[in-house]
Amino acid sequence: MKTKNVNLLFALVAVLLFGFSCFCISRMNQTNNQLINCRNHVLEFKETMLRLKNKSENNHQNLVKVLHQLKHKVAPAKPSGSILEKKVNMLDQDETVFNQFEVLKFFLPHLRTAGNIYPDIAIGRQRAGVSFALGITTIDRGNHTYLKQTLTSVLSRMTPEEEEDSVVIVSVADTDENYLKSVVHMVKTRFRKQVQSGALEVISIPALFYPQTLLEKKTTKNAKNWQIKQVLDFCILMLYAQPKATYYLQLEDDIVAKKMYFTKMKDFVNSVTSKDWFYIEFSVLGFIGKLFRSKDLMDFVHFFLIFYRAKPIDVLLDDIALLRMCSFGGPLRSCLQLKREVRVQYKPSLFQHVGTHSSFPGREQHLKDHYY
Amino acid sequence: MRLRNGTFLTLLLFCLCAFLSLSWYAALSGQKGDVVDIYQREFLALRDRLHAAEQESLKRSKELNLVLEEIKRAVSERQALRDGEGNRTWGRLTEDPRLKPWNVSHRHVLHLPTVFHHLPHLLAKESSLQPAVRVGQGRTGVSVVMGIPSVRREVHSYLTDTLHSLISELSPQEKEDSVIVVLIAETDTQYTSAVTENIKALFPTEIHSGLLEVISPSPHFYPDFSRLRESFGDPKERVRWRTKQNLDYCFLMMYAQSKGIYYVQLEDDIVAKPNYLSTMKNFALQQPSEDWMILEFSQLGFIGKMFKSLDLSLIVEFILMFYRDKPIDWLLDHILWVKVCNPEKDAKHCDRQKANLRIRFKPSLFQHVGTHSSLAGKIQKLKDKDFGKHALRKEHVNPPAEVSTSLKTYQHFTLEKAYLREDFFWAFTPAAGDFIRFRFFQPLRLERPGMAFSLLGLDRGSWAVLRLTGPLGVCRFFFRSGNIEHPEDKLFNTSVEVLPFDNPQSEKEALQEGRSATLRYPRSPDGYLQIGSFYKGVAEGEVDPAFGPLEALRLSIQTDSPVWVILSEIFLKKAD
Repeated sequence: MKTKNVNLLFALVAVLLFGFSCFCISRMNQTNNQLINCRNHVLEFKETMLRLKNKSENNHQNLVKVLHQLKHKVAPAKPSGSILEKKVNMLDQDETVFNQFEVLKFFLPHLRTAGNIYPDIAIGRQRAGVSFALGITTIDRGNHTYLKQTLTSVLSRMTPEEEEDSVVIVSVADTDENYLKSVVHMVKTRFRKQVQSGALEVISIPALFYPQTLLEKKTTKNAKNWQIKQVLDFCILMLYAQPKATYYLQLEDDIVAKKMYFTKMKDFVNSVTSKDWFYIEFSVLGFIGKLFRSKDLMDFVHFFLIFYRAKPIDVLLDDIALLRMCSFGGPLRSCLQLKREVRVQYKPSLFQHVGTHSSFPGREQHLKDHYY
Repeated sequence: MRLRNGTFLTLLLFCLCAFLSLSWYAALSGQKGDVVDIYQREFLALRDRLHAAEQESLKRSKELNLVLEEIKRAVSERQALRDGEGNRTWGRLTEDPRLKPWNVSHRHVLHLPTVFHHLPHLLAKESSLQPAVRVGQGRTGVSVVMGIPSVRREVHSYLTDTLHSLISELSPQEKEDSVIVVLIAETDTQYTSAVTENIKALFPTEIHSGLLEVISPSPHFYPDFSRLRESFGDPKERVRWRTKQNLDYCFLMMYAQSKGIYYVQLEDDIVAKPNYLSTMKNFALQQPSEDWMILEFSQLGFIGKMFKSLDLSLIVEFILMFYRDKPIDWLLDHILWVKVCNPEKDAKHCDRQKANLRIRFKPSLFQHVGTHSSLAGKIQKLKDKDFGKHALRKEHVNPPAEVSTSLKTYQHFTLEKAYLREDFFWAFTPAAGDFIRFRFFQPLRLERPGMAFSLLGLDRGSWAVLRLTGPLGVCRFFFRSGNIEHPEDKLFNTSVEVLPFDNPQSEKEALQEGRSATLRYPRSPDGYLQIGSFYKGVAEGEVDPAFGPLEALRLSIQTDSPVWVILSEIFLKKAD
């Protein structure tokens, strides 16, 4: 009797293990099917990219052919510069005639007589195709500087994989060349590794981008002009960063980031339930920690540029969210409270404002994010 | 022996299954965790990136094609010119009239580089931004451009009547300094051709001279309307109608933007007042600052809205950002809201700030005549209540004056607004002795006379009065009380009185000075001369030139009135 029971027990366990084995086999088949699906997707992507590449090469050949033909036929022309000839010369010099920044000429009429406009790249390895671009604008604050601390906080709290899948862009929005030199020097000495790998870039905005009234020395003390210039600074940085990544995160140069902030941000973006989100706030203060989809970023930039003289940029951000989702009839502010799925807030905040000396001369501010 | 064999077989089977299970499980967990999740995430990100790259590539390709077309056309034109006339220089090529179509299309396409961002379907067809119909001379450099969008109405078309009204009220100079652009916002070629031919037949002179142009958008300009989502409770047909209206207005504004200094948006079922164009232009030029964004010459919908052409690009840009979400009148108000309103402040402050950007002109210059709306089935009976009340009078501005009254004003219907001809004056029941006064100068009292005044013989310590502005000669007056809504609120037993600047103190002095004219008018105790009175609510007359310049003019109520009073028209004509 005892021996029979033991045998039955063994047989039962064997059957269960066999069943489990079959289950594993079926799961393996599922996985194989998924892998086959992935391979099909890869082939599809490959085909699409090949098509894009062919189209691009075709465009290039067409352009070269026409340029060659045009050069040949226009050579005997007199050098008196007509508009078309200037355009031809521009095409000749730089084949990337149409870049993101041409849109600025539409919104800033003083740029229409300028040639090719693009920020100056002081440090950078043209990194693109990453998941996240982090933008930081910086202006000289006199004896108080927070940029090094901010960069240390942001970069040291990324994992190596996260650093590989992101780019941090510092935009020096100060017309003082000495400040640009000091930033470049600090970045090259303190963040050598990130500079070498391309994870950290420094750009500067040429003075010609700004309307003349914003550059006069006595008006830099003007709060209104400071506010107008800030909108332009943010827009120029966004235009530079937009093609580089899937998401864009706007920061300021006087913050600290929480540990594992990048992982939390990435996980939240992937898991947020509302797919119609317009932007995500990882901090409640001003424009710190605002995350956008890069494909939506141009809409924001266009809106900011339409109204850049009217309001500060954080108020404009509120306004575009209001306009996007609220009907005009109801009170706009109360409508916003009902639309949390569009303007998503992450709590607790991932960034804290630490600077007390504003980039506007003579002004101190003690704002703190209470959700940090 | 048998039992031992059975146990051994069972143990063997057990070990075999356990081994297989563990092997498969290890393989499964390893592959699933590492491969599938990572691949899936990477593929999704890659797909998004690839899609964005594809869109960007399409955009670049579109732009490149435009440039290539431009260059090819220029080269071929140059080749033709070289074959035809060898001595023509390169610099004059761009001045050649044959390049005009190229210039126009170039400007239309490239003037709003962001249009492809908002309407990506335009990339599919190169001609999507070219008008399918273009009739006219392409006139530019005018003061006022008037845009009239027109869509098919099921019952009756008012377009030609509207054009008749607009054109007949233009003077020859105004016809040279303006453009009327009709946008036939339909893609049915049969319909657009019929309307175009009809306009050509009725207005050949205006088309030939360049005053009138007719355009119609390409069918490829419009997106697939079947994929619009409903918003704010509007049914699908309504969303489609208003989305298309937004695009129609943008197309028209993009076309008209480079033609003139001011742009006026009209509708195709209106009638215009005489001298409407010069009135609009003068009103725009008289604005104290350039901060205004919209001047409204009618209160209805989108009739008679004037913009600066320089602002049109940004307005179009804004409309294209939200064209699927809201109707255009909301979007227009939103622009003002973003410019000047702050959610932290109250609605009244917001309205006051918006009033600085959106300035209303009264009385209205246009009346809506159509009752069949372009939204099928909707009959609208809206009439602009400000039109027609003053149809008999040309537009007029009263001379500057300080207005005051003893009557109590009802709500916001103030005497100042009535004098400025912005609204009517409405007051509670007047009593005997009440007045409405228009003073034509402002005295400045000096506390102490200087030596000069002493030399003139004034007593020491007396008060001297300096007049900042001089008295005014008035030759004609017209007052109307009551209005259409409240015709019974009239002035009864009220006199019109004037106070001449050189006011004789008594009849005796008048006799001595030989001023016999003033003796004919009754004199009030405070020196005013009665020159007229209200009859059936209206007082009208001329002012005797013998009075010379006037210090003030007033309406004096002689007896208690049983009703409230409305003063709906004040007309004072300055003497030359």
